[in-house]
Amino acid sequence: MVLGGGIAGMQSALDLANGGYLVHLVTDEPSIGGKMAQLDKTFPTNECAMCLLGPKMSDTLSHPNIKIHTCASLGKVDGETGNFRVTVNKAPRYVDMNECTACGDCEQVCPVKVEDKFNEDMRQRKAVYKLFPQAVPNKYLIDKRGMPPCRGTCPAGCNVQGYVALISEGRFGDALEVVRRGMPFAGICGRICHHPCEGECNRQDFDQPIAIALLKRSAADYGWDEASEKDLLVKKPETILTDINGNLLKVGIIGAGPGGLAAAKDLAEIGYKVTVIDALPEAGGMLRAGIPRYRLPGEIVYREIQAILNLGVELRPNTLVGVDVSLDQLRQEFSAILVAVGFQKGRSLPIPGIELKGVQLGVEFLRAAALGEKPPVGKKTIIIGGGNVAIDTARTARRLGAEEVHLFCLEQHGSMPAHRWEVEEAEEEGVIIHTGWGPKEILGKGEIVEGVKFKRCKQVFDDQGRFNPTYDEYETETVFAGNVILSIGQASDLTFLDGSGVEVSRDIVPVNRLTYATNAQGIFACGDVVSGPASVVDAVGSAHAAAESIHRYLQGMDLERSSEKPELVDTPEGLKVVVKDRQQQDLLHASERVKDFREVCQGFTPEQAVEEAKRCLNCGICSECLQCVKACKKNAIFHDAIPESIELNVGAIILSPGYEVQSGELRGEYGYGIYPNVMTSLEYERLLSSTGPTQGHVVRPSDHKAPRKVAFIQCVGSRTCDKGAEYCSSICCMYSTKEAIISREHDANIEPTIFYLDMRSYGKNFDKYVKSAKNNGVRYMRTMISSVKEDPVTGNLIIKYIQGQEIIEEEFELVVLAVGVKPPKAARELAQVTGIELNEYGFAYTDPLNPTKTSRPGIFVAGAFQGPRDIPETVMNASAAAAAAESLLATGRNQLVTPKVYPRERDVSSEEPKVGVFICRCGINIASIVDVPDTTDYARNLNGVVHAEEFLYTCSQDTVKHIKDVINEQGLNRIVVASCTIRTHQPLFREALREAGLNQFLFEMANIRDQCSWVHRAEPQRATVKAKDLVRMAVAKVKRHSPLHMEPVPVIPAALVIGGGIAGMTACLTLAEQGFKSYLVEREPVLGGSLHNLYFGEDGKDAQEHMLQVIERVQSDPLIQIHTNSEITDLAGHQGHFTTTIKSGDLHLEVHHGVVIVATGGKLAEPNPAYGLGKDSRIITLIQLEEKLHTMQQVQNGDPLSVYQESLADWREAALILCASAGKELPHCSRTCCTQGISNAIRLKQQNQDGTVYVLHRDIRTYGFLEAYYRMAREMGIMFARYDGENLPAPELGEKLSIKVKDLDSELEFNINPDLLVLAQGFEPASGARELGTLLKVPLNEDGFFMETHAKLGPMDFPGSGLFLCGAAHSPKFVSEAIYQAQGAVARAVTILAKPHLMVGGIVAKAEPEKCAACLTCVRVCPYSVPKIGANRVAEIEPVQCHGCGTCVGECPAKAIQLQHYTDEQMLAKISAVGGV
Amino acid sequence: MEKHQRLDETFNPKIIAFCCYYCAYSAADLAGSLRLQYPPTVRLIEQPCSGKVDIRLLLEAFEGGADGVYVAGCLEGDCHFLKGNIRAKKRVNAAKKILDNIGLGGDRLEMFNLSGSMGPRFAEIANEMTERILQIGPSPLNKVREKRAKKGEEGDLK
Repeated sequence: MVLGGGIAGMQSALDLANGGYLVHLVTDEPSIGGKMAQLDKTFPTNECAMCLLGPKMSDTLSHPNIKIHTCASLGKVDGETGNFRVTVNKAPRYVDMNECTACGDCEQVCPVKVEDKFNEDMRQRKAVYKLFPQAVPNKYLIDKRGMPPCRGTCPAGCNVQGYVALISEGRFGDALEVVRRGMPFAGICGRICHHPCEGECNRQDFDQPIAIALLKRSAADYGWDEASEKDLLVKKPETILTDINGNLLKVGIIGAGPGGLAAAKDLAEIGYKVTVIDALPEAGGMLRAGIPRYRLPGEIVYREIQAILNLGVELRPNTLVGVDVSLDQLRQEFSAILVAVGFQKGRSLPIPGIELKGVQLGVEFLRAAALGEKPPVGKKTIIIGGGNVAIDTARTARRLGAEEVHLFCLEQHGSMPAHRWEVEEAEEEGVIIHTGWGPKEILGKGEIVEGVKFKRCKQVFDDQGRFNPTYDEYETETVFAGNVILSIGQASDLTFLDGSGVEVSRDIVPVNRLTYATNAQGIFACGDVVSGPASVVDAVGSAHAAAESIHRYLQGMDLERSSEKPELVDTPEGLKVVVKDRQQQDLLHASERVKDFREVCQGFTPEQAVEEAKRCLNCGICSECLQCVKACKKNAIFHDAIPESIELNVGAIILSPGYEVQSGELRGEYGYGIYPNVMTSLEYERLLSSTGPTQGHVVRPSDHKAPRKVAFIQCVGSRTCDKGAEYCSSICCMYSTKEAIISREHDANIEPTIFYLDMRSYGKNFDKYVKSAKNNGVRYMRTMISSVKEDPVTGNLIIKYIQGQEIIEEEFELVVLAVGVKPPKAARELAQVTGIELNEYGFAYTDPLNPTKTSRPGIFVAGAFQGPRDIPETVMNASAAAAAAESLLATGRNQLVTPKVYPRERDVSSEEPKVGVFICRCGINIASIVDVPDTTDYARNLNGVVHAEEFLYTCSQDTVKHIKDVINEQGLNRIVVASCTIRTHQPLFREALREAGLNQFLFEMANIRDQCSWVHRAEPQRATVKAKDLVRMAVAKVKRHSPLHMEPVPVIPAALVIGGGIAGMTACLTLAEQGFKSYLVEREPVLGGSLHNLYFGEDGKDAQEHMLQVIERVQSDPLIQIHTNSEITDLAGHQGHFTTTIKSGDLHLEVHHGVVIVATGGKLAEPNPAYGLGKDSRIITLIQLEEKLHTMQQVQNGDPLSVYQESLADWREAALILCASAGKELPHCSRTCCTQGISNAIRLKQQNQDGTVYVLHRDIRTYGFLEAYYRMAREMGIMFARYDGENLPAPELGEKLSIKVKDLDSELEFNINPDLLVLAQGFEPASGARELGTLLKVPLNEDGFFMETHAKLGPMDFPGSGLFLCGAAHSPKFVSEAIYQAQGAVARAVTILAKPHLMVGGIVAKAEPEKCAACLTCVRVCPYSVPKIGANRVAEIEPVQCHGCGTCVGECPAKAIQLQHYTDEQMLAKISAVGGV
Repeated sequence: MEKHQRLDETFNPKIIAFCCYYCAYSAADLAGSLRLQYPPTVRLIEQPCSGKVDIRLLLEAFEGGADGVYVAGCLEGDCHFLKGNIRAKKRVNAAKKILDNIGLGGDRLEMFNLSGSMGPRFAEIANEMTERILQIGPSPLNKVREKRAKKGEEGDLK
């Protein structure tokens, strides 16, 4: 199993799979590709990252031995090396991977836009998305975080986020449909709901909650007509439900209020016959007869009720149960009954005078007013009560003509039960509120009310919080009025249940609160009769539950169900919220309001609604609005998918989870996150990318203007003790250089400046790259930046830094922070799950001498999880990890790889072309633009076509099967599919041909989607013409296709390894572990190579000891044949079978092998003569110093074998000159000397604490964790002084050595007189490398190191197949790096050695001998040196080696070479079909 | 089957684009998935490398009915096969001279470089080239072809 889908994961997986193992590639991302996918270009070649990555991703995806598990993480690792049991937890993608065609229809309709992490939040994506346009697998997925609080809080379960998202796009009709799934009364609740959702809205943490209720109203107000037209309002049931006798299943609902009607809707939609019975003449209950019209217009109530009745719900009005019909009668008629009668009666008070004329109850008053009865009001009216009904009553009284309305309530102003906004509106309308009073007595004159005497209320609730008012009976107030309305509460009337057996308790019907079942079988209750007086939304909520119970009851299912509520999510982490106040609706002016019952609240305008909806933070990400489900023609979306766990049995595990970048905020003084024009390097990378937020235009975030001066600040989060990490992040110097160069490529006006500390261009060709940057206008400034400040007017940034002794302020338009590398977020958890150790920085711990091995046997690491590194290093140790796993599992090779068996291929050579054309509609992706039936007819009439057919989806499994059937039934021998791109779909169809017994090359595709319908949407007619042309061209070509066959060529399972240094020896040992024989050829009499010059490894351990051990192992391994004192004199053959002549003295030996590994290393360069080596005994080389220090250490350790040679103790002042082989310029960086020099300076200083040690350097390149040496040296007081090529610190020889030091950093000049001067030599290629290159036909770079096939992705491969490269022959490197590159080279080699045969042929170049003039053009131009002039004096092209690029074909002056499958005949046929008809 | 009928009397050029699989073909797909719009004039022919396209193919493309032709290869230095795109450029330049000499006009032929992730650039190139060919007008060869087609001398249809 390989964990991680980045470049490391893919490389390990591919090497293992090609080496004969089954690989499970597990990644937590939805696509493979890793961080590299985010990059625009790569250094030092400026190649497009995606272009390099794309083919690698495709290879990984289509490899039969690689199973990719996306969105998956490691749960548990049991077992042991060779036999692990790994639990992998797979998060649901919610889109069926087998069905998704990546057509993007779902994405188009998804209303939810969230920050796009892939684009570093600089752009938005949809909730249903692909990670990036070229994602692999090319499948959509849905991003869900969980239940947003708005939706989770709504008692009715209304999908708030869903409809808000749709409103944000102005899609009111769709929004209304979403509202009505949970809340049938959108317009009603949009007006009168007390919206508990808004109280939970996460937006209030930033400013104010979303105006959810008003948005719901907007959906109803502006979406009703649209929804009605689209038939979204009435969802007729799929089936009408009946009992076993075929009788309709009937449900009776008593009460046509919101609860009863909501339940009626639910049940009718399921398929029940529902009848609603109500005492009033019209349906609606309190909606119609309780809530005043100025809050809720009648027509809104009418249309929403009507939409429910339109489902076929029967209404029986004017029917009072218990009077007009008995409950028993109903029980006979209906299979189930729902009691939803609500609280219809007003409550009275037992006080004197209550019976007086002119005293009314609020509920009844409102009902009369609502039904148009005009109940009496006096000029002056007193309302008693402080709830919403009391406020409604007061405001209704005002509108019915009461000039003075006094409202008295027990509570104080702030604690009135009525909603705050209702109280405010009432006061605006002139209602006078008196708080803290309770009625003592109603005064009357005769039978007529005259006024009320109130007493002071001291306390409303008692200590237990129960309603229990206490009064001061002596503080009273008397108010005179002709009308008194009591609005102190409501009561139910449940007399119809008397004697029914249904339990009633204190005005309430007790039910099971989960199922809403009463004690009587088949009778359920919901709404206020269950809960006491509550709101509409509560009633609807209970109605949903009751309806579901009724359904379960009638279907004979268990009523009980899970009551688990999903956890509510909070604001998405790291979300940047711009404060924006919520929209305010218009209210009718109070003076107008009291005149009649016109609606007070005007709601949002549509524009306001959209604006308000855009404030939503989309906390759940996917809102489950289900628009995608409707849009997906393949029915591939499953919102209720659940996570799954799988168990894998694997022999070895490779961990390559990659890295994260440090936060730009670590350096507060640079203003990241505050100033918009300060961005991180990764953000800038996306800005440069043509698939990024600006399509590759470099513009600054604040004003989208092109910047001129751009500053790059290095070491953000790296090389720091308190603001990030201590280590060097290794890659930033180079990626900033790249970004600076690319910036100028995008816009030549950009003037980049890189502010850096040391230029760590330590890798192969890196110095040259930096030099080219300098030549191309990139300015480098070595200085530390103390602060960045913004000019608030221009948005420009003022950078303050020290240059020399001066403080300089310079203005830039854009600042890019080179953020460092840190361990992946999951590192700790991963370490815990796998049981591996982490190092002090939180990366995986590995031993430098076994660089991919973790602390747990059988588990290996690759890539940046080991520490910061660039792509080639990552590729090298990914291959090395693969090799390590292969060594472990050598006996299991090729066991789990089952070759597929195909039917015998039909010989079509004597047949006339019979072409079948299959044309894809791709849902509507093609068919909505291209006239597919017309194109199919057209295809049918083309010469040679015997069958043409169109499909909804050509790639679906049933269609592919159908194609195979048609091939066989009709005897087709050439196939054209006109659909999408060959990049993703050609392998599928070629496979189908093979399965149908046809040669896979008798196939051609026409891309009429990606390259036609998608890009010509405005011109369907011309797009159709183009589609026909493309089909005609494909048919013309395919008719000329001939079968191509791959021929097996046997492989000799042995390797030739050239060079007996650490790389070569490691390669041989790794090959031997895997069971492969190797011939190790070494020029010198002994093995060991450059290791003979190394005494301390980069970890400080004894390198000599290690060397001896390795030599011993190599010598004793029977699979390794050692040839010392030997050289290669001839190499012939091809990958799989080379023949090599080895010359040992006068003996010539011929060996046969499948691969070659070049590990010839290099040698130390001579020091610059200016430094006087050999002229003074006090001047020694770094190697000599190390040897002495090593000897002394052994003496100190009491090693009896070491001989005390020479004392070092007498020095007082020592100096070490780094880059001592270089003159004015550094030809190339030797990579290891800084570390080796500084670590030996430390040893020197430790040996003589009182001495002074100077290190004279150019740049200090202690990259990665090696930075610790530099830090330690500084802490110990070792003096560092920087020189440059203009002023070499050459010593004056004499009695004293004298060096004039001019430190460029401090600008101080001083003399030192070292009594020990140490010269750190550079490293250069081995002598004879060039001759070997010529012999092997492999290229070298200008420094003389061997050139790999690709600087990024092929660091161990040569262009010629079967030849591999490792160690210092590639470029200077540390022992550990040479080891893993050697192991990696073996993994690459094993992809050939593991196969008994190589399959060759197919798309390769073929020379026609009769035409060849042996002009050598092909020999010269082939990038892989494949063509040769053979014994017949004509060009011969070895198919095993040919890469099929066709370069030779293009250049051959005699046209003597043809590229199979792209022959002139085929291409010309295709071309001439362009103009045809 | 009725013979080719023009959709309208305006000139709808046909442009053959020889596209390298590794860059331009991918960029064309990307332009599609980004829904970038360009005129339906380009007939894309995929090649394993722009360096495979020889002068004969370029010239035969005009014979075959193209009003314009271009080769799209990787960015210079980015060729999957090292130098194919540079070789292609040389050939395009040579073919341009031939076209000039025979009076067809070298401007009808062009070499472009782009990377596989440059979807927008692909659309831009299609627009640029279409614009250019519209300016130059139909290929004289196609005028002849049309005459011949009317006589029923050509055609792939049964």
